Amino acid sequence: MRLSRSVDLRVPAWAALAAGAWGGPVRVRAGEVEYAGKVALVDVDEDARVVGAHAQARRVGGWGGVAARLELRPQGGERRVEISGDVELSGEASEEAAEALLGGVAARLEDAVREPAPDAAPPVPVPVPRVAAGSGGEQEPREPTLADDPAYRRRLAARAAMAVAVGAAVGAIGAALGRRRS
Amino acid sequence: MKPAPFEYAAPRTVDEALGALGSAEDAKPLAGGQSLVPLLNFRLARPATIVDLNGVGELAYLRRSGGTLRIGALTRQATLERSAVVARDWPLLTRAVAHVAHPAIRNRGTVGGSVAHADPAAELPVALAALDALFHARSAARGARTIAAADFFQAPLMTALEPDELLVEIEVPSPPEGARAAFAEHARTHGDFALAGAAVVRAGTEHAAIALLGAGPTPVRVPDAERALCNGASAAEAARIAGAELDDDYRRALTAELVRRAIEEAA
Repeated sequence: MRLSRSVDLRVPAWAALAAGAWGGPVRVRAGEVEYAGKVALVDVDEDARVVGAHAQARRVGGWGGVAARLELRPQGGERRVEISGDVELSGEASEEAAEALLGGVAARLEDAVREPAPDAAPPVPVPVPRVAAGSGGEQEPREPTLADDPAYRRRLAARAAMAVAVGAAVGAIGAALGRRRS
Repeated sequence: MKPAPFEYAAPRTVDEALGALGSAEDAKPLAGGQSLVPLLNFRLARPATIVDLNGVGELAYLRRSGGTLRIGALTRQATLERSAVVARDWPLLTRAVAHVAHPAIRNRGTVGGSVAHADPAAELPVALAALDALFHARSAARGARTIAAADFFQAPLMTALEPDELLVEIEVPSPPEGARAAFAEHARTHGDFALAGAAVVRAGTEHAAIALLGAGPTPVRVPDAERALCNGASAAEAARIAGAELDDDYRRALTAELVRRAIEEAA
């Protein structure tokens, strides 16, 4: 299925597209169903002024997914971007999910290229971490993933808390029944 | 098994990576880790320092500029496989990378890592040799240099890179006008190391490039077969010439057959 849509940016489109800083996690809603995944820059064709991207998302709490090979082209006025590409659906994913994924990519692009506030502090250079193996030194991931999404982490934490609570309740009931039998 | 102890450096820029490689004794760069990590786990490699390049975002790009494809060394093999630009103008790379192991490995494995590891059974070095790619290396002490494919691969798992040098970019020139390409290989099971293979780029009788996989300690170009093809030899005849230098009967027959299929596909 081929889809396309346009998005207007607040900065010159080509420089923003080629920089690729708009890649990262995508979370979209198609009706009642939520999809989570990511979009990533694939290639930059400076000769044709086209940027290639790959986006994919899976249904949260269900079976199905949507994946797209996208082309992003700056259009008239240099601030408009046309996003088009072939979208593949799997499982229970609907065409609505495909539209939502493209919308998610457009939103991500708009968010990522917003001009920084004039009083924003310049980035602080980070020293090279150098640690011995096994000492637990952490390295910041190069690309944000689903695990970086606060909503996703909150949901995971809630599920873990629910599992612990259910386990504790079952254990308490079991112990109480055991005492009555004895 | 667990790796032997090592120091770990996680640079964020190429300059920091070069500094770490240059200052540490027996340092080894880590990209996707699909070859180095098994070697570490089996303790076949015991570097004193691992320089993890995964935080060096500036090395991960795929760019066509002035008709030339520039591949950052940290570009994932899956990215190469998904690229529409590569599929359209350098289809040999798309076909070759599809033979690299399995999707999970291609998601993590990098183009530069595969090239710098220089396994004679690896697909990407053979395809890049057929495409006359250039390899850009940098070191903190000696600066930058460019190495042709013929000089880059020196022996099994050995390249022209010095210990303090880092492969930063692979430059693939535009193929000749009207060129067609094909890649064929044979492995006992899908995703396994190939026993033999061939990469062919052909533009009528004007240009022919044939590179063999598993036919020697490095990717092997066969200029005699290329010349024969340009002079109008049949696919079978050129394939016979390409396989002639292999000693083993089975590998010779297998390589010749794969070359013949690739030539016919690229015709």
